Amino acid sequence: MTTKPTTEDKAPLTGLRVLVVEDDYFIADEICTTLRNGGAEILGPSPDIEQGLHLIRSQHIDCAVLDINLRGDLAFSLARELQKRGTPSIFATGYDSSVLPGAFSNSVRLEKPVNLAALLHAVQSLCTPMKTQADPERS
Amino acid sequence: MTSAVSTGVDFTGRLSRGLQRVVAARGSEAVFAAAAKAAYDIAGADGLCALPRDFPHYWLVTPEAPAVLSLKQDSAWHRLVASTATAANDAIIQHRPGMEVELPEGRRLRTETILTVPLDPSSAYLAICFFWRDGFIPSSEQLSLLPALACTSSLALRAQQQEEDLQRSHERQRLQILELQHRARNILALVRSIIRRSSSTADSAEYFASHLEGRISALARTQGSLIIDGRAGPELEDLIRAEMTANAVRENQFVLTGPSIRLSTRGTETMALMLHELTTNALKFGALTAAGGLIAVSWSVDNSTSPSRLRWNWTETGVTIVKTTPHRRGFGQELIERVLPYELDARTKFTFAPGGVLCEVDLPLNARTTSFNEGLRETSPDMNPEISPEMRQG
Repeated sequence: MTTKPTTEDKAPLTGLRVLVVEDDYFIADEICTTLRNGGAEILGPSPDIEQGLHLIRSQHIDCAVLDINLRGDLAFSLARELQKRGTPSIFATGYDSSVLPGAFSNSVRLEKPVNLAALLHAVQSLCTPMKTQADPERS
Repeated sequence: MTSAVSTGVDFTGRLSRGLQRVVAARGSEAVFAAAAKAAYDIAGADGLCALPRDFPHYWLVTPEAPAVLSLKQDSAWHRLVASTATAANDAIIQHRPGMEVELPEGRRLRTETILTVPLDPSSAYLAICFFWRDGFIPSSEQLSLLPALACTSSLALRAQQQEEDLQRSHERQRLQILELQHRARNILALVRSIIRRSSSTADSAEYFASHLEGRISALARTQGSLIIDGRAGPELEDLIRAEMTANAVRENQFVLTGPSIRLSTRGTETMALMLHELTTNALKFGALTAAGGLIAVSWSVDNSTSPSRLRWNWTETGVTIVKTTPHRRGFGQELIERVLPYELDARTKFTFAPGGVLCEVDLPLNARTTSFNEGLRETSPDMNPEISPEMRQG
């Protein structure tokens, strides 16, 4: 609490590319602003599965924040596509965890309204292990 | 022709075991298979036919194998049941009806005897018919036991059907609760964003409070009319009228013209927020500041495109002085220029014209903007959304 904030603390997500798929403009804007302030580069936001899928297939993504109900379509097809590529997903949703299919039951799920500090933390902790592996000095 | 004679065989014991197996069976196939096996044990029946009341397939079950066969419009079985229908609820025995029964795998069997047991009108089946091949006639004692077997089979199926219906209804209720929970959370998230936005553009606490109150009230008005399973928002006209009434706009200050249309839950919320901003703006700077000012809101559905499009116009007239474009993007402008395109795929235009504000919204009437197709689709295949009559036309 008393330690001096370093650049890394201020922008813990620097260098990370985060996909945001959320059909609500205001919520998407809030999530994007939070992540951008955390140093992340935002892909999207996409309001639907189609655009989200296009981004997944055409861009390098470190992590994705997905709303479950996208204009009536469920976002699990996106999560599966990301899972195939080894990209972690965070579900930001108004639904109960019982809606998550078995394959995602251990995924990070943030309830709406999303706690923005928890969102930053979730993105950071999901992406950090990969950074550590890539960085020999840390091991 | 030899008649099977009762020779101390325990038929009632066989019936009793048969009934137990019928009641224990799960699913139509298993119930009929158990019934056919029991009918064979009790009376040497070669099989049974279960004739449905209103679906196009019937069951033809032999002790070896049950089969589902497609029912021709005027099948021999139908004619048979129709010919016995006069006798109300009594089982009818027919000897030498000269009927050929089509068995699974293309085999055929010429019947010597058919026993038709009509079922009660609440059953999904009209009747269950037991049949015997040429050369075999069951005894009257054997025959007398079969109606009980048919009725028990029908009851077992009905009980299972009711159990399934109940389960489906529980599942539907669970999904509705999830949907409500989801909506409540989404609306709270939306309110939080509105608070954030209202505070970032407010010059004073009072300004902030009054704007926030207005926006939340506009949102609240959409909630009262949303049907519990979230499938329909209010009539567009009612939504506009409610906003006008809430701001004490007099009847002679606005004109509404357009067909009946309902938008999706989210579409309704976004439209309500936009209407609120436009009305507030008109009260402060536009048509509602002058005695002769008028707001004309008109909309139409263009069916020449696929999907159809809703073209919606807000036109203010009778204003002499109109404040020029504000130096910073307000909440209302953000709604019109950013939120509607993002959430509803709308094309929008917002201009401060000499006579007053003009706002045009042109949006596709698709799954996301109209009131059908909401909710959890992937997990609820049986929850087919009902298409409202308006949308069917549109």
